[in-house]
Amino acid sequence: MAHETAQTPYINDHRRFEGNGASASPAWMKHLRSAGIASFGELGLPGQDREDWRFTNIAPLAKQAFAVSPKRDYPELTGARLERYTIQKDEHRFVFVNGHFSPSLSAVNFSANVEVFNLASAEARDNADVQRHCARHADMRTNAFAALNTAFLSDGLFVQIPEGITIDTPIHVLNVSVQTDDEPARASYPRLIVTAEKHSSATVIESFISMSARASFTNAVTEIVLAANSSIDYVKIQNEHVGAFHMHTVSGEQHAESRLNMFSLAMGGAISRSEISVALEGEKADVNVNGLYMADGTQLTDHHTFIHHKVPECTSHELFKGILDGSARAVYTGKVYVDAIAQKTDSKQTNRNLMLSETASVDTQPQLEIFADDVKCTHGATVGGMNETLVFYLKSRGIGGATARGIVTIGFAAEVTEKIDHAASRSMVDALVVSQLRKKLGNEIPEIVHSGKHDEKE
Amino acid sequence: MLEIKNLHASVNGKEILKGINLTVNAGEVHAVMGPNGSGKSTLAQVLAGHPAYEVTAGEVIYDGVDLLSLQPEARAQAGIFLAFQYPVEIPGVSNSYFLKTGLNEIRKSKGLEELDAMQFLKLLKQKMQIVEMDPSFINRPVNEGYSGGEKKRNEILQMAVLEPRLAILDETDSGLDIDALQIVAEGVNKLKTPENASIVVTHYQRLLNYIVPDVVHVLVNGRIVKSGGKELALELEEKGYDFIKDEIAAAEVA
Ligand SMILES: Nc1ncnc2c1ncn2[C@@H]1O[C@H](COP(=O)(O)OP(=O)(O)OP(=O)(O)O)[C@@H](O)[C@H]1O
Ligand SMILES: [Mg+2]
Repeated sequence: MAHETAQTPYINDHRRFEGNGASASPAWMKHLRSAGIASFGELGLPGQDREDWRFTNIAPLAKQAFAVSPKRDYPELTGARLERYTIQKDEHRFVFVNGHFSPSLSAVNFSANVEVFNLASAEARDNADVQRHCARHADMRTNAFAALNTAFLSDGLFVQIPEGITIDTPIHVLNVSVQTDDEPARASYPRLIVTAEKHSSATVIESFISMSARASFTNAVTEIVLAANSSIDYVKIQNEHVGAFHMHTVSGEQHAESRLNMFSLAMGGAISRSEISVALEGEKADVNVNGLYMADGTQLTDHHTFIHHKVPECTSHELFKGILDGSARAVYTGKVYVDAIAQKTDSKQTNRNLMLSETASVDTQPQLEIFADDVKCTHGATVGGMNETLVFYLKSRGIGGATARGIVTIGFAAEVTEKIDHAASRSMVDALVVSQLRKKLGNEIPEIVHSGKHDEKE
Repeated sequence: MLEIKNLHASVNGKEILKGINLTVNAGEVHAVMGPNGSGKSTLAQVLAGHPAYEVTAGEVIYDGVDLLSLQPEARAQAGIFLAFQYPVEIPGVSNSYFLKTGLNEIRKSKGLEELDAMQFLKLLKQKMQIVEMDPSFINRPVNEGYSGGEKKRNEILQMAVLEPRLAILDETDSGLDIDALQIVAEGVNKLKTPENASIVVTHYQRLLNYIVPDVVHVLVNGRIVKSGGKELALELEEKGYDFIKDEIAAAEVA
């Protein structure tokens, strides 16, 4: 018998899972699952000896065992309770409960001929597009959490925007984590695949929330593939309970002249990590990866981004901002990698951190690896307190104390939330930021307003 | 109302104000002129309480109180207003919220009742009309993306809303077109009562055609080297700072 390690419970859980109802899956899916568990077994849960996990200690996650959630009903989970997570009334809403699709809580109404499959459905089994893209993009050979997610692949969502089609109404995938008090600690493995065909465009929002305060583990994978000239706005809202563990692998692949505008809001979770990698495969592709993390107490929040410029004339812009309080820790590691042939790359990477307490800390590492010689690449990071010039301006108008600090913090956050093009998503993110700050600094904190740059998308 | 005595101030260990003496009485308008880098903005910022400037000697008495002992927000609540030479941008925060909060903080400190949203909006619209600002600025983030002139106008709007007792205008006229200049002047003149006073920092005599000063001061190298009536401004415009070069030389040597 092999010796027990932190990954043993997951390997045992996988064996039970294959032995139970998962046998209904098609062969290709089973095949992916065995590849996933094999890779996870080799990689193991990452320790801090791994370069890309140097600042992120997942011991609190590793010392508990989280078993995959079975598909079951939670009568207390009603549409009314999920109402407040709605981004936009008429959104195409796909609700996943602990990783399982819930048709009764979802509301979908596509007028265009969009290919949408629940991965657990019979139709998905034989679909060539699903097979071609599902679990083919996120790298499970080096990423243990992507491998672990694949080991439990059975449910999830596949969306394909057909050529030339623009979906105006946003697609909202709401991932709900819920457990009753008598259940063992649960893991869920959400998977979302979005492919945009040539000249298509859509807005996709992925929310992560939890309904119970107990420790839970969400290990999600999102794969986004953009064909030539397509455009995707992707907004991630992570607002799980502070007891939650959250690992999310986001993998993007972009072809010529496509445009991907991503935003990641990280507010909840005891430990949360978003690992975002984008491969620029076609010339003149443009990617924006922006985000805001807010952490307090003993939360640990981590963003890890990797932009790979593989061809000439692509642009990538990254702005991540953090607001840290209490004894919270944040990690930002951003790598931009420019291949030798990727001439005329234009890349900018910025990380700014606002420290609201002396005991909060941040490890920030923007990195550039450039093998081409004709490029424009910049990067920078700052860690600091309040902007004193701004504080003085406010004080000179009679505004001091917590209100002044709140206004400065709002200003800091607004500079990055304004990069969300989709109006309703931006409002949701703004509202979450404001409500979080009001808890800290009082109800004087104002709503966020933006200058009218975005009017064309409202 | 305001008495500045032998004021010395430095920034990062470098002395900028080297003994300023200036008395402003209620009802007066004082103009401060002087070459670039002579310390005009520093004086304005020190009066408003900017923490970067260290007062190394002297005192400032405002309405009988030691002004320098007050926090900047307390100075604002006591009726001091500084229109910034370089107003800062506050993304995400609307002009109306910003001004309403400021006004209500000032009212609270005076024991007055706070204005509610409706009352404030009515007041704001009135004041915006006076300074001829488009209502779209009500909900725009403070100064973000405004043109240079719009920022200056927004400073005057703030002044009009907050109704200070002592207004300090730091080059509010630079970057303004002629119409805006008149509006700014009007804003200052409207405020002019026997109880109030203003200090107007400017490079141009032009503004002083509209805001007629009681006293004009020339600030050179951290000192006031000459004071006079409004004709001093005309003379400066005509002859430059050269004609007071003896005074300047004296200031330079010391
Ligand atoms: N924060 C600072 N750090 C370093 N030097 C400063 C600082 N603030 C002011 N100074 C210096 O103090 C001197 C006076 O500056 P101040 O802004 O008061 O001049 P001013 O008279 O207002 O000039 P202008 O007419 O150009 O507005 C200048 O030499 C300036 O460089
Ligand atoms: Mg100046």
